[in-house]
Amino acid sequence: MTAAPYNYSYIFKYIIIGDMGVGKSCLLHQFTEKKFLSDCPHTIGVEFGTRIIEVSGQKIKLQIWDTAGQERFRAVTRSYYRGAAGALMVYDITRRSTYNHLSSWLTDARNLTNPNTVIFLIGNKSDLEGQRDVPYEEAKAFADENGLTFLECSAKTGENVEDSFLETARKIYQNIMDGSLDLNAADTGVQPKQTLSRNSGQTPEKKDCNC
Amino acid sequence: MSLFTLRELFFLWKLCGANVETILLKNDVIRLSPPVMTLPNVIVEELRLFGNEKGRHFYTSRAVFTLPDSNLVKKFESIDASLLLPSIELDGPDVRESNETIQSSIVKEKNVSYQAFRMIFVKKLLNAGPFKQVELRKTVQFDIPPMLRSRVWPSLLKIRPSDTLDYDKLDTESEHVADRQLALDIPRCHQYDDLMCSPSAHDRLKRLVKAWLLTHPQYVYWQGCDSLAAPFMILNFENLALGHACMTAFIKKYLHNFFLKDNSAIIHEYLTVFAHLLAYVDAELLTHLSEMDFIPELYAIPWFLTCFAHVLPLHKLFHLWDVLLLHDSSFPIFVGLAIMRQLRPSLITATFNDAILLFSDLPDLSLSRVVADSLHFYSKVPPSCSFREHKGPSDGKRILKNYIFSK
Repeated sequence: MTAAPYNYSYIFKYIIIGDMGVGKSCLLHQFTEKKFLSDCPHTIGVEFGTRIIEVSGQKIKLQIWDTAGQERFRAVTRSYYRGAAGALMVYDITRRSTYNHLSSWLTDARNLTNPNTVIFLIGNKSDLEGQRDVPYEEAKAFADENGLTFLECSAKTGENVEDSFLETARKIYQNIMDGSLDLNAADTGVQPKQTLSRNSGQTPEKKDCNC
Repeated sequence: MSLFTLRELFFLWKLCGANVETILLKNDVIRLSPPVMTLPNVIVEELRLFGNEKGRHFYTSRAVFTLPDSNLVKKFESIDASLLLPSIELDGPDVRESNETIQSSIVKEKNVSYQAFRMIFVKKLLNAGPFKQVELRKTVQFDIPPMLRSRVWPSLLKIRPSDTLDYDKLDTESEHVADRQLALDIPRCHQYDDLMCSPSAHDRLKRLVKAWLLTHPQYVYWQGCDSLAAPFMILNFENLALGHACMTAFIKKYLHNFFLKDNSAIIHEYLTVFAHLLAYVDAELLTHLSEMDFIPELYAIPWFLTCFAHVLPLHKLFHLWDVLLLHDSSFPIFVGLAIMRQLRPSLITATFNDAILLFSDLPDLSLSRVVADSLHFYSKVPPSCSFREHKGPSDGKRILKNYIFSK
């Protein structure tokens, strides 16, 4: 583990939600590693990724929670929403059913996060134009109606992936700047950088079993 | 050589360093063109190639070709014949329990004479059926010869021949509610493995999972069932009925009720017991993790839901399950503790951010250490501490002193 003192001013917690197989983990990999893994294993529970980005000259560390999409895991994944500053809600433009479920994902996102959480709608797999099942305009209208920002992306080609993550961060940052997001409140999903200096990597391995 | 089946001989032959493809290439039975000469003129969409078809033709000669076996014969000649003819009555299970038995399983699996000896010995015990079950369990605690794993596992899981009879009556063709999910999940299950990414393996894995769902109407498909079924599919590639029986017995023993539609009570209890035991063996670590709200729900669900099948690569998984199958249903918890112990140096100073990343791409764990630590914890922690209400039918009392590894 690297203990280099990355300079960042904030940590933002993101959560990625949406039906299974829409490409949540692929979006995460594309964003954090700029790679497309076509046979990325499905997620059980939750997996994580981080990346440091820059918004208005400030370095921000994104802590991204990539959740399991299978309906059955909802009982578990609901506990992961708490304290998310941004929620990326993903559907697959080639499968209408994943779009139809958005309202239930949105309900969860609204109920389980705080009012300032920025919710971003992503239509993934935009590279498969030929198999499109959900028109752009329809999704755009849904997004406008519910006050969401919307982009179509492709985790495969990388198109718009960067923008969706960055745009979400910009909105959160804006909320901090104009005071609508109170950093002192609980569970905002934004942590100002801890001034804690760590000496990790230096601590010798201690005996860890007292039995 | 008559002691071995053809498949076993082929396995030993390969262990001697032989490689079919190289030999065939050398003898001009197959011919390869340099990759640059096989390039097509045009590629459209995904891999539709046009032009230069001739360059991509695969040349083989149709004659029968005998593979040379001189290395293997030489190797056999160097082995003490008495070792290849052990008596399971007189020599006992500890025969040749020398430096070799305690080597790591990876070293042992590459050792031709050791494998030859072990195969004969374990096969003898297997052929003795239930009469040598105790001796078999004793000897496979050292290792299971890879070629015999598909016979040893059913024996450890106490599969009876009648358990495999119903498989052929199952209709795995018709549509099932889980079909859509399986179609999504199977093509991304352990795809780094050559066999697992073949269409034939995809099809068999789907059949196996569907057969299991059909015989267990009380359970539903949870993501993770695919990874769990994979080892049984691989071992019983030509005999899915046996694979199905093994999977059924395995889940009944280790994952009772985990795949109920609502399994929250079972998972919750499991993780709580795990956290308690972590506190028991390493209070400092648990305190550190709890202080930053890093709870087992964030990292341990895929471990226990799939008995590590989702998180370990297949070659490690086989070795872990070799040991797991000799122990009761609480063993996975101790494996979890062993993993925590191995990650401890990084975890104890980690911030929440470091910790989540550490688990997201689990570093290359040393499996032999994990196994040794699991056995250590398993033998030291009082059995009552790992009691679970949802454990399912009792699998026999575990008595601390009787632990087979303590000598």
